[in-house]
Amino acid sequence: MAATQKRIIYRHIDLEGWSADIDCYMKDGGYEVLKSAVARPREELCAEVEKSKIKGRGGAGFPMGMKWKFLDRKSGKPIYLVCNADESEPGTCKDRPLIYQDPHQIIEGIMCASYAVNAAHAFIYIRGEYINGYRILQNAVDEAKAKGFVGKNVCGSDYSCEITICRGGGCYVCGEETGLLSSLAGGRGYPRIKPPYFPAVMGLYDCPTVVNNVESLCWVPQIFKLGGEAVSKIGVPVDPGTHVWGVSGQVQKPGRYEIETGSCKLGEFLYDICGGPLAGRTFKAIIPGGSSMKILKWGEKFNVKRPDGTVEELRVEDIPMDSASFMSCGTAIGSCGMIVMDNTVDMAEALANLNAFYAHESCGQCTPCREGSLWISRITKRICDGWGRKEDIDLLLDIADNICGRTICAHGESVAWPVQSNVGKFREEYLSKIERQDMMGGQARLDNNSYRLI
Amino acid sequence: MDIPKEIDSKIDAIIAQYPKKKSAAMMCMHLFQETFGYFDDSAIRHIASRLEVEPIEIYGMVSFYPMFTQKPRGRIHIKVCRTLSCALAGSYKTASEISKAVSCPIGETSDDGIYTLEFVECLGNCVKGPNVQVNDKLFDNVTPDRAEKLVDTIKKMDSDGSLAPLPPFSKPAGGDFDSPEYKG
Ligand SMILES: Cc1cc2nc3c(=O)[nH]c(=O)nc-3n(C[C@H](O)[C@H](O)[C@H](O)COP(=O)(O)O)c2cc1C
Ligand code: SF4
Ligand code: FES
Repeated sequence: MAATQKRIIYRHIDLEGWSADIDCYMKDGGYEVLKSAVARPREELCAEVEKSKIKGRGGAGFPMGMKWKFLDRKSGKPIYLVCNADESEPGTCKDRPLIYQDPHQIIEGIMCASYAVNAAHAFIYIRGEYINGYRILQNAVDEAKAKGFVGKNVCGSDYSCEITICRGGGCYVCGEETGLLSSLAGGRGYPRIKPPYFPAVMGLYDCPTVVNNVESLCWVPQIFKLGGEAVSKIGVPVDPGTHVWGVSGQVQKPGRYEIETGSCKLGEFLYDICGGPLAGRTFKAIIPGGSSMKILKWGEKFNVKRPDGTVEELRVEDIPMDSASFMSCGTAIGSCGMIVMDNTVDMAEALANLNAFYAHESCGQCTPCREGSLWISRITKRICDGWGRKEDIDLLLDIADNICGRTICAHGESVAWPVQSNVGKFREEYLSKIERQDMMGGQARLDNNSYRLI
Repeated sequence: MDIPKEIDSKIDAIIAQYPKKKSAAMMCMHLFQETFGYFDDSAIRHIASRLEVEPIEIYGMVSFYPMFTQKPRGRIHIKVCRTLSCALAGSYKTASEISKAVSCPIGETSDDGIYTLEFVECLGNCVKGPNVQVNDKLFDNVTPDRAEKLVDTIKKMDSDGSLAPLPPFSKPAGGDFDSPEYKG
C-alpha cells in the first residue's frame, strides 16, 4: 500500500485562494463548532475529548482528556488555558503554517477548549522569532473579538474569556510548560519542579492551568464536531488521529506531511511521500521526533513484543508511523520533527551540532544539565576538531547517564538521549574517526564533500 | 535614553491585557527592544517602575533572553540558523559566505555598525533550510550558492526601505516571505 496524506488539521494549508482572514475561515464553516459548543454542558464536552483519546502533540504525548481531568476545579481559583506556540525543538516546524496561514483554526480551538474547562483567561505563548506570526495571530484575535467569538459573552452565551498573546524571548526552555508559565508570569523562564508545580494544579500564578500545544488545540473543534468516538477511530486506537510530520534533512522532498497514524510504515513514508534518499546516497540515520528523541540507525532491527506475548523482529523501515510503535523500538515520535541523515553525514558532527544547541539552551538551574550539557558539547566539538581521545566515548555515555532523571525538567533527558543513542549505535564510527585523527588531525571527516555541521 | 510619552500609553495597553501587571514584562520588553534597539539602565528602571517590580528582575530577564540586548545591534540584523536541519543543508557555509559578502565576522557587528551577523538556533522552518532571518523577515532555502544573491537582495531592500522592521504593534505584513526570489 502506497503511503498517502490525509489532511485534517492541515486542510487549509497552502490551499489555493486561502487567506488568514476571518471571512475566509467563516466561509468554510469556521466558528460553527464554537457556536454550538457553548450551548452544550461542559462535562459532556470534556467527556468527548477523553473518549477521543487524542494525545498531546507538543512532545510528551500525554492524553489531552486526561490532562483536563486532572485540573483542580475545587480550589476556587481561576483556571487558565495556555496555547503553547513556542515551537523551538530542532526539526519541529509543524505549528508555523497553522499560525501563519490558519490562525482562526487555532483561535476556535482555544475558545472551544477554554469553554470546556471553564477557563477565566486564555493565553497564547508564541516564540519570539515568529514576529509576523505574532502580528497575524493578534490581528486574528482582534477580528474574532469584533465578531463576538472571543471576549465578553462568547457567541451570545454567558461565558466570557479573553485571549492574550505573549511573545517569548528566543529561549528554548520556555517551551517546557512550567518554564513557559514562569516566563508568562513575568520573569526568567525557569522550569519548576513537579510535584508540586503540575500546571493542572499549580500553574500560572499558582492557579490550575491547562497547557496544550497548537496542534493539540486544533483537534478540539474536530472532536466536538465529529464526536470523540469517531475521532478515536481515525488511525490506530492507541494513538488516534493524524500526525503532521515535518521532514527535514537529506530526502528528495522535505516538507510537512499529515498522515493518519499507523497508516504506513517508516520506509513507505520516506520513499512514497518524501521521495527517498538524494541521488546516489543511502539513508543512514533518522531522528524520528524533535532532535531530543533517540536516533534510529537505518538497517537496525528490533525485537518487539506483540500483545499476545510473541516476539516479532522489526526492521527500521517497517516501524508503523504511530507513537506506540516508535516507543516499542526505544524511541519516541515527540513533536514529529523528523531529521533524516544519509551516508555522507559524519555522526560525530551531527551530535556535536545538537549538543551545542542543548548546551546553549540549558537554563542553568540544575547542575547536571548545566555542567553536563557544556561538558558533552565540548567533548564532541573536540572530537570534530581532531583532538578526540578513545576514552571520550565512554566519558560521553557516563556523563549522559548521570544527567538523566536528575534534573528539574525534561531538558536533562533532551541532553542525554541523543548522546546515549548516537554514541551507542555508532560507536564503531566514533572509534575509527578518533583513530584516524591520530594520524590526520582535524581532517578525519567521513566525507569531505558534505557540509560541516559544527 | 529618552522615553517618549507614547511609550507609556503603549505600556498601559499591554498591562490592561493581563490579570497581573508583572505578566506584561515580556511584551513591554519587546516594545523597548523594537523601539530603542537595546536596553540601558534607564529603560530597565522605567519598565520596573511601571510594572512595580525591582529593576533587578527586569535586568535578570534582559540577560536571560537572547532576543534582548544591552548593546545596539546593526540596522541589518542577520540571523543564520545553525541547528542540525539547516546545517545539513549547508548553513555553516552560508553563514561564512554572507560574512565575506558583508565584511562582518559571525557573532559581531560590522565596523560601520550596519550589519550584525549571528548564528541562531532552530527558526522553526527546518524543512526549507538553510533559513536566514533578516530583521523581521525570513528567507528560506539560502543554500551556500545563493548566499551572495541573498546579500544583493538585502542591500536592495535596505536602500528602498523595505528591509526596515515594521514598528511594534503593526498589522501583519503579507505572509512570511518578502522576497519572491527566495520563496522556497
Ligand atoms: C525542553 C522542553 C521543550 C519543550 N518545547 C515545547 C515546544 O516548543 N512546544 C510545545 O508545544 N511543547 C513543548 N514541550 C512540551 C511541553 O512541556 C508540554 O508537554 C506541552 O506543551 C503540552 O502540550 P500537549 O499536551 O498538547 O502536547 C517542551 C518540553 C520540554 C521538556
Ligand atoms: S534540566 Fe536544564 S533546562 Fe531544565 S530546569 Fe534544569 S537546568 Fe534548566
Ligand atoms: S533547524 Fe534551522 S529552522 Fe529548524
